[in-house]
Amino acid sequence: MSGALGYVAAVNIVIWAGIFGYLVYLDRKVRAASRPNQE
Amino acid sequence: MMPSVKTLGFVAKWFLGLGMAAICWGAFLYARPAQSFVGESSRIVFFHVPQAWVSTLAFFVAAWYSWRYLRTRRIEHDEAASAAARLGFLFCVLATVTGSIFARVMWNSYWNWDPRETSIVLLLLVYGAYLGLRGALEDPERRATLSAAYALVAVVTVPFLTFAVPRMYQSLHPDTVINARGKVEMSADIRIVFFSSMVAFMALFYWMWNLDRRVSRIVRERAA
Repeated sequence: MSGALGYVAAVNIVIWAGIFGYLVYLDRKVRAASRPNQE
Repeated sequence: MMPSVKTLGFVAKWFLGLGMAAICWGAFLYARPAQSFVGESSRIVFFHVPQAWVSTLAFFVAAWYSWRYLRTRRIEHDEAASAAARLGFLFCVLATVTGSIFARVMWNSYWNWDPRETSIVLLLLVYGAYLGLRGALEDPERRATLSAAYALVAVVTVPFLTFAVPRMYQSLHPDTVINARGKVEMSADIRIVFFSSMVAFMALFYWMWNLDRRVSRIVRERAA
């Protein structure tokens, strides 16, 4: 990989995937909490 | 006329998004690669160091709100502490993985049990146990009290594992931002991108922390 730029890109993918994953976790938490009231 | 809190929040989020985009641009295209690093690997520092710094900050925030919970017994403080600890753990995992990628470029190995690598694993274990403790307790009041006490003990290990251990032993890890001579030795272009990235990731942490606290409040109100 030329000049390790691929590794720099991999670092970015890891970070943004991690942050996105956390936001998905929060979204699921809210959805799970609101489910009984919607029935 | 004063803008509303909602408008300010909207502007701040746009500003954060654009700032992050600018930092990615600066990290890849503006700052030049630093000397004594392999190829372009110094660019990893713009992302890896803020993760480590934000995780440290988050653990201190968790301890501060744990202390406030023990003083006031207000459940909002427990929610703030647990949100900060969760985020601290997330950013600590990200710092570990990105550091491991950096190690692969620099030393041709993903893991070397370097003092810095060992200390971050210990930190993950300490805060992994905090999350485990919270998950094991059903009663909200008991969970809040025990985890607040644990967080106050756990935070004692943070400065030791983050700042002391890496300076006590010989390490492959590059100099800390403020080096042994007490100076920040970076070229102007690297310094601008690096410190902007630090500020932006702290702002991102603040936004995620507030979001987590609001989600916890919604969950609590729905459960009541």
